[in-house]
Amino acid sequence: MTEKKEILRIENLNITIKNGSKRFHVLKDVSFTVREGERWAIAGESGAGKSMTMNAMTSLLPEESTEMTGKILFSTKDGGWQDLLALSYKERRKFVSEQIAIIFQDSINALNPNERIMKQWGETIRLHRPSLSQAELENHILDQMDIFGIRGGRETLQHFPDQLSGGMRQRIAIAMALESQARILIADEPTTSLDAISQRNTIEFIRKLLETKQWTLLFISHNLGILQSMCDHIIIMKDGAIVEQGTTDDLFYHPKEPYTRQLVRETMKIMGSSEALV
Amino acid sequence: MNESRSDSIVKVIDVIKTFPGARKGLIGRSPDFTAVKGVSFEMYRGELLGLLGESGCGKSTLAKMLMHLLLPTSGEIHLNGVQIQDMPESSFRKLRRQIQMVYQNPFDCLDPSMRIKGLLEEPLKIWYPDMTEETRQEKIDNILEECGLPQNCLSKYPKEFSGGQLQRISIARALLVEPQVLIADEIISALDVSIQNQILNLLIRMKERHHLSILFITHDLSVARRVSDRVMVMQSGEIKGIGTPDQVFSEQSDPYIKDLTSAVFTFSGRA
Ligand SMILES: Nc1ncnc2c1ncn2[C@@H]1O[C@H](COP(=O)(O)OP(=O)(O)O)[C@@H](O)[C@H]1O
Ligand SMILES: Nc1ncnc2c1ncn2[C@@H]1O[C@H](COP(=O)(O)OP(=O)(O)O)[C@@H](O)[C@H]1O
Ligand SMILES: [Mg+2]
Ligand SMILES: [Mg+2]
Repeated sequence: MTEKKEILRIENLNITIKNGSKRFHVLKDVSFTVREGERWAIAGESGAGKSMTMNAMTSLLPEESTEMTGKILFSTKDGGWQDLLALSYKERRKFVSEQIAIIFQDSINALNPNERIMKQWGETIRLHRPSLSQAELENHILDQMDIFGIRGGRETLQHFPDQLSGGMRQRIAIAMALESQARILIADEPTTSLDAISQRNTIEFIRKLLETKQWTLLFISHNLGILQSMCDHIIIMKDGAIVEQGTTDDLFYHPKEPYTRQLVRETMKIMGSSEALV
Repeated sequence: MNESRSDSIVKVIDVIKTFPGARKGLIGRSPDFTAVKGVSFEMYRGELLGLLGESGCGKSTLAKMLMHLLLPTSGEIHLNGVQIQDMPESSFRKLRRQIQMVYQNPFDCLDPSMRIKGLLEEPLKIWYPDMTEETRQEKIDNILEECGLPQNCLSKYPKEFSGGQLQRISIARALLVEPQVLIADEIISALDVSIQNQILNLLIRMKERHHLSILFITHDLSVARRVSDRVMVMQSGEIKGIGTPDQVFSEQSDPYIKDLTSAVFTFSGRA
C-alpha cells in the first residue's frame, strides 16, 4: 500500500497569550503530521492545551492578544503547502472555513438561539452552495435529517434550538458543520455535556459517518475510552506540550513516557473493562 | 419496607418532592414539577450506596431532603429511627451533625476569605463548644493526616489549592464532626482521572476506618459500579433498580438500566 498523502503539518507551534502586562506561554513546540483519512485524538487532562491547539488551527484565537510562532501547514490542491500563519487574520478565517468543519463541546454556541433551525441551517447551506433553489435546499435538509437521525421532519425545522433536546441540538450542529465540504473535521469534546445514552449515540453516529466519508478527523477529548473507540492516532498533551504521540494501539499498550503510563493506569482503574483489570 | 434491618441508618419511604411552577407574567404560572416521584430505600451502616443517574433526574433534590435542606412534599425520612421530615429546624439542629455533605464545587461551601485552619475549626467550635484548644488541634492534625493533607495547608486560603486538594479539605471538614452518614454529591465529576482515583480511595478508606455510611452520587456508571457496595439507579425522579452492582447491571435489569449499561465506554490498555 502506498503511503497516504500528508494533509496537515503543525511545526514547532508556540503560543503566548498576552493579558495586560502578563504573558502566558500556553503552547510549547507542538509538532505533528496528519495524513489523509487518519483519525487523530488529542488527549490530556484539563488545561493541557487541547483546545488551544485546536483554536490555533481553526484560527479562533483573538488576534490582538495572541502571539503565534511556528507553522500550521495545510496541503493545497496543487501539491504545495499553505502556512496559515503566513496569511492575514481575515484571509486565515476564510481559508479555515473552506478547509475545516468544526464541532464544539456546546452545540448551543454553534446554533443561534434566536433563529429557527430551518433558517440557520438553510443559510449555512447557501454559504457553501449559493445556487441551490429553495425546493432543493429543503429536500437536502430533509435528507440530511434522515441520515443524522434527526426526527420530526418539517416540524422540528420550525423550532428554536432551546425547544429541542441536547442530543438533537448536537446532531443538528454536526449536520450543519458538515455542510461545509471541508476535508478536515475537528471536534472539541463534542459529547462531554450530553447524557450517557446520547453520548454513545452521537459517537456511534460520527463513527458511521466516517466509514462513508473520507474525512480526516481530529478529535479532542479527556475520555480515553471514547478516543480508543474512534481514533487510530493519538497525541497526549500536558502543560501545553506534547508528551507522546503515535498510534492509539502503541500508546495504550506500550506507553513509553511515565506520564502516559500513569494516565493509562488511572484510566483503566476508572473505566477499564473487567478483563483489563485482572 | 416495614421491617428494617437493625443496621439501617437512613430510611426513606415514598418520598415525593414537587416544586411549584414559576410565575410567568402577571397571572400565568408554569406547571408544577415533580422532581422526586415516590422514592423508597434504606441505607445501612458502613456501606457505600451509589446513587447513579443522568443530570436532572433528581439526585441532588433527594440529597437535600436527606440533609433537611429541602422538605419533602410527602413521604417519610428516618435518620437513626427518628422521623425528620416534619421536624422544625430547631429540633433537627441536634441531629444535623450526624449527616454531612460534600458538594461538586468545593468553593460553594468553603468561605474564600478564611484560612483552612479557620475552616476546619469552625464546625468543631459549633458542635463541641466545650472542646479544649488542644483537643481541637489534635483532631485537626489527625484528620489532615487521614485525608493526606500536609500540615502547612492550615495557613493557606482555598484559592491556593487545586480542585482535588480542595475536595480533600471538604471531606476532612465534613468528617471532623464524626458524622454517621456522608453524602458526596458529584464530588469527583470536575476532577482529572488520577485525582478521581485518589479521592475515591480516600472515601473508601474513611468508610472502612470509621464505619461510615456514604451516599455517593454520580452520573458515571463505571465509577458507581467500581466503588458501590450497593447501587441505586434513578431516572426522572424514580428508582429503577437497587442492589449490588452485579445485580443491578445484570442482563435482567430494567430496560433503562440496560440502555445505560450498554452506553458505557470502556478502555483497555497496558502500563
Ligand atoms: N486567555 C488566557 N489567558 C491565559 N491563559 C489562558 C487563557 N486561555 C487559556 N489559558 C491557559 O492555557 C492552558 C490550556 O488551556 P486549554 O487549551 O483550554 O486546555 P484544555 O486542554 O483543557 O482544552 C490552560 O492552562 C489555560 O489556563
Ligand atoms: N428549586 C427548584 N425549583 C424548581 N425546579 C427544581 C428546583 N431544584 C431542582 N429542580 C428541578 O428538579 C429536577 C431535578 O434536579 P436535581 O435534583 O438537581 O437533579 P440532579 O442532581 O440529578 O442533576 C431538575 O429538572 C431541576 O430543574
Ligand atoms: Mg478544552
Ligand atoms: Mg445534582
